[in-house]
Amino acid sequence: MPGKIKKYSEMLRSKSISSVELTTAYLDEIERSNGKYNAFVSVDGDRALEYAKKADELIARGEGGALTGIPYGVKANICEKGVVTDCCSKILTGYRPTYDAAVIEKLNAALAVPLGKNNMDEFAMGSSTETSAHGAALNPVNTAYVPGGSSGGGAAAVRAGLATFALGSDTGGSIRQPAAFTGTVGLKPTYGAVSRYGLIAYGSSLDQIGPIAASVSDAAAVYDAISGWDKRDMTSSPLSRSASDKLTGNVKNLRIGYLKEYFEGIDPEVKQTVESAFGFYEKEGAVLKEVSLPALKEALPAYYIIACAEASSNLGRYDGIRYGYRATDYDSIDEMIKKTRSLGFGKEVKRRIMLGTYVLSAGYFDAYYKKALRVRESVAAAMNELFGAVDVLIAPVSPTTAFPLNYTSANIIETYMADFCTVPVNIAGVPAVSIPAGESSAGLPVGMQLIGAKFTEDVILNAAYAFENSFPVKTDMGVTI
Amino acid sequence: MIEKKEVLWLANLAKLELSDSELDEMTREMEEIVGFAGQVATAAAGTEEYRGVITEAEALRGDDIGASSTQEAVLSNVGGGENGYFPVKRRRHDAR
Repeated sequence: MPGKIKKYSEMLRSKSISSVELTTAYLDEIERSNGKYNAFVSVDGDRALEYAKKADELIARGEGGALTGIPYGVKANICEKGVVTDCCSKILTGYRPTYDAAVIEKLNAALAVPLGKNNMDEFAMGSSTETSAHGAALNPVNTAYVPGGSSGGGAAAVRAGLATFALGSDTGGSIRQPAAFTGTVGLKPTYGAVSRYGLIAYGSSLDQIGPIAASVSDAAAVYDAISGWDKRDMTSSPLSRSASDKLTGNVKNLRIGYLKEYFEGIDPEVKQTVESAFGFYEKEGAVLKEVSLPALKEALPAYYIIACAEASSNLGRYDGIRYGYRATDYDSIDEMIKKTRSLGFGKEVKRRIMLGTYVLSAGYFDAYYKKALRVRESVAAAMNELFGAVDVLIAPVSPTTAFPLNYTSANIIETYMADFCTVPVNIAGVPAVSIPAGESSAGLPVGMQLIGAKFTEDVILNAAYAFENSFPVKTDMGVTI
Repeated sequence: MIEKKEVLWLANLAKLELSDSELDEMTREMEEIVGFAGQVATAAAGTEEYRGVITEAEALRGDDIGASSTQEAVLSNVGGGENGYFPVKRRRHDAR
């Protein structure tokens, strides 16, 4: 599948369309339809058209690259200088970063066209984009359902044809699960492959920025543009490899493992849909086998302990003093800070801060946090050992299809447990891509995950590319140029 | 068993204020959430020390000083600040 980015790029170069025209089409569509999905929480049309104009000038000079002139959405936790970046939280109301995130610097240099900020769960904490201070995002496939989270706005924007691609972030599944729920492609790169400089932190040892797109080749093009070592992020790595040039669709002799534990206790339609891909890969010459990772069961509570511990520390900076919301009714600075945080944070954020504080506090530190780190080491080591025997792991993304609206707030622990397919990938720091594998009998998308060893984005994207035509992303909504 | 006074102590550490009804709700939720997280205590996995997130490449760099944010930029989110400070009223009724 050529994807939208390559198609648009060719049209821009052959002058059959300009970036200004393309961007205008997206802006018009956002004006028409965004109200139905709440995929964007802010749009700056003038700014977008400025970038589009500069992109057209670059293309006219015969310069520019794969993403020049291509309109995209930015998750509301990725800093753009001078643009309100509030993580969909009241506590960051009106915050305008004084610098661009590294990924934004790269996309600006390429003259891709930023349309606006995509909706998200507050501070990336959630699986439905319902904890957003700007109201829930809705799934364009069926608006009675969530688009997933926390990058649900970006996934909804791509599925609804309101953006060519979107930048999301994934700490425990927040790119892959919304991609699965909306029937789009979502890539969580290897930890360290994409700089976190300018990503407002949730769980710093887990967070990664990645693309949500309408095709595998689009996701690969964005990954190539945003990945690479950055000296400002000490966890950034020089080991990432390009992926776009490796998309051949050839999976002959590819060793694919399916993790036994991932297929237990999940919705039967999800299980059947993902398992139906096994036959496809075998026909194409790949070699499939069942593998096991018993430590997977412990990965989920370990993830929540580590992520919330880090979040409680990262969110300690929000005190109303230097930016964002500040309470006004107080009699001491200490009271101001407490009131600001209590009124400024939503319920889910407060729950996770409280859990993080608990596991880091004296008396519980060893039993919870230190133990969780050891579990993390075991899961990561076991997963990396599996990659000695297989090249790719195939798995569901979520045990169910999209949740109905209002389900997650009434079922906290069940919602946390629904992360069990995605979280081990973040714990181990390996890359994974979610692609559409089919649909449920209710017409809801079912996603499939392809997981690889560290820095093998090219391998997993190629495996995804091979399968893609079996169930391509539907591009029947919004801008259909 | 998580008790309310423990939840209040944690809230104080986290600089959060809870009303009586919020305290009741948070206590119930913490009981559930800590119970869920507590599964790590009995995890069979977990005997090796954690090595860190990046083990494949050198994390440290030379101590070279680069550009930093200007004072003006940093104060821009509080309307420019006051004499290089972030002005915060000590109490609600203070003039400034």
